[in-house]
Amino acid sequence: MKLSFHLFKYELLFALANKGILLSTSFFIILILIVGIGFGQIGESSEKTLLAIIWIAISLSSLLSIKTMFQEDFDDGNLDLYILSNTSIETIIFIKSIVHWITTNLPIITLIPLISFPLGITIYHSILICLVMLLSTPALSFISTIGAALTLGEKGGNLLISIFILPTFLPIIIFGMKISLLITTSNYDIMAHLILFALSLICIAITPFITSLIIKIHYT
Amino acid sequence: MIKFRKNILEFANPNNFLSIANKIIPFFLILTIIILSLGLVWGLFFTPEDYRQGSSVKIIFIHVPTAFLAINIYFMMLLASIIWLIRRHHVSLIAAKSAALIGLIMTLSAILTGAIWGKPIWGTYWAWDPRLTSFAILLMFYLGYLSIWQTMKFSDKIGDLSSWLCIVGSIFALLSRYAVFFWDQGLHQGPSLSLDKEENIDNVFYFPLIICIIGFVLLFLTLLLIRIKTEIQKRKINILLNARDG
Amino acid sequence: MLDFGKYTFEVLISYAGTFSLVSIVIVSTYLDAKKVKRDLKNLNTDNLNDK
Repeated sequence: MKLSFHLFKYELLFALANKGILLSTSFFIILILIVGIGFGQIGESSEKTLLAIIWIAISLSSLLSIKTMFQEDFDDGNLDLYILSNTSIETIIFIKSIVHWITTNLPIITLIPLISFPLGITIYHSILICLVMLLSTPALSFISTIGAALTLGEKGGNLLISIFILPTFLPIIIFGMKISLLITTSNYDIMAHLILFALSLICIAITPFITSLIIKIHYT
Repeated sequence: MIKFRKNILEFANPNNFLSIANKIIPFFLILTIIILSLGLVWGLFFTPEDYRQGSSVKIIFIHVPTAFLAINIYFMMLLASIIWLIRRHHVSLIAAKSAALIGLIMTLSAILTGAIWGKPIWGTYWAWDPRLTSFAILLMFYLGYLSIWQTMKFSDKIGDLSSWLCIVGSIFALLSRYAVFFWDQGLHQGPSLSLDKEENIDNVFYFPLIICIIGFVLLFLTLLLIRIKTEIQKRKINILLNARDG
Repeated sequence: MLDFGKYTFEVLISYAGTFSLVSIVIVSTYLDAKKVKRDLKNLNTDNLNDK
């Protein structure tokens, strides 16, 4: 337990030192503005399109730094030590995904009220959407570890990760989009929320095990 | 039963597979040509027009078999991947690899014929109807599975990775399918073909459709056998080259 | 002969489209098989020449 805490602290400090937060938030803002401006030119800037842009932007930016998650440890041999050590590799994957979520998705989510207010979503709605995202985006970080594990040691794996992992974001995106729409039209559907959170929890519970199995393939 | 079990295990040995495949491929080829042409010609020329859909109903004879195959080939790939991960039978892995391209093409043709049929009947080529969306999802997972084989060289490690990708992909494909079906049932009618239901579609369309489905399945099996055979021979060549060059 | 009333174009284009898509797989399978057969033959003759 103590070891996991230390690992968490180390990973977090490492990620903060890498300026990953700045990059992912800038990417998110640029993506939102570019798509918003593009839609603005054809006069299509309703709340609906903005919601879609936000969900797609958050899923794209959570894939940005995923490649380095295991690659650096794989290259310098830290991953070998982790596998040889007493700590289960699932715990390490869990910690790494949590850190990834804190450093990429969390800053973006806090930005959403700020950026969606000038684009036409009311503050109240955007805060509700933020709450939904807060509970569902951890799944995105956890799922994308599978892609990082699959392309371990592969040059130019970034494109491959997007090809493998973006389709698996679909359940979350579909439910998230629908719930955001229900929120903005004031049709509160508790069932949909519960299913989204259940999906997110299932992903969090299962993916560390799948990822560890895939990582072990590289060591046989 | 015991003989059957023995045969299945023998089939997993690449050499035995090759000798069996060499024997049955010509037979399958002839059968495919006969049944597929019979079904398609019957469907195209000797079926009446539907009173509502007119002659556009004839598209069903390729739309339904390709859609049926598109889903079931992915299912077959999943089973083959699981067998590879558990029993390490190389033929199983190669079968999954070889089936992927055929599955992709079947998905594309199902979407294409559906779109062409949808324009006059529903008034649109494409709508985000749940069933169409699930085919789009299937297409994405086929592309993902194919891209892992296209970018990396054949090895047991890549076999493991692709098998895991297939398993993860099918979990998420299923989840997405239910997510899409969560709110509405969409434009499609309920399943029009089933073995236990009383109300099937009319017999005039039913028999040629069944023949077409059998024909397409045979086509898939023939292509799959040839592709597996080619792949095994490719690996043999690689091994021979490595042995010769040291 | 190829006249199906109102929807002739749709029927024909969907049959032709599926046929061309499926023929992609058929042709690629055939070419692959042919290439491998030739390679195997070359390899065997090479081995004979070495000895």
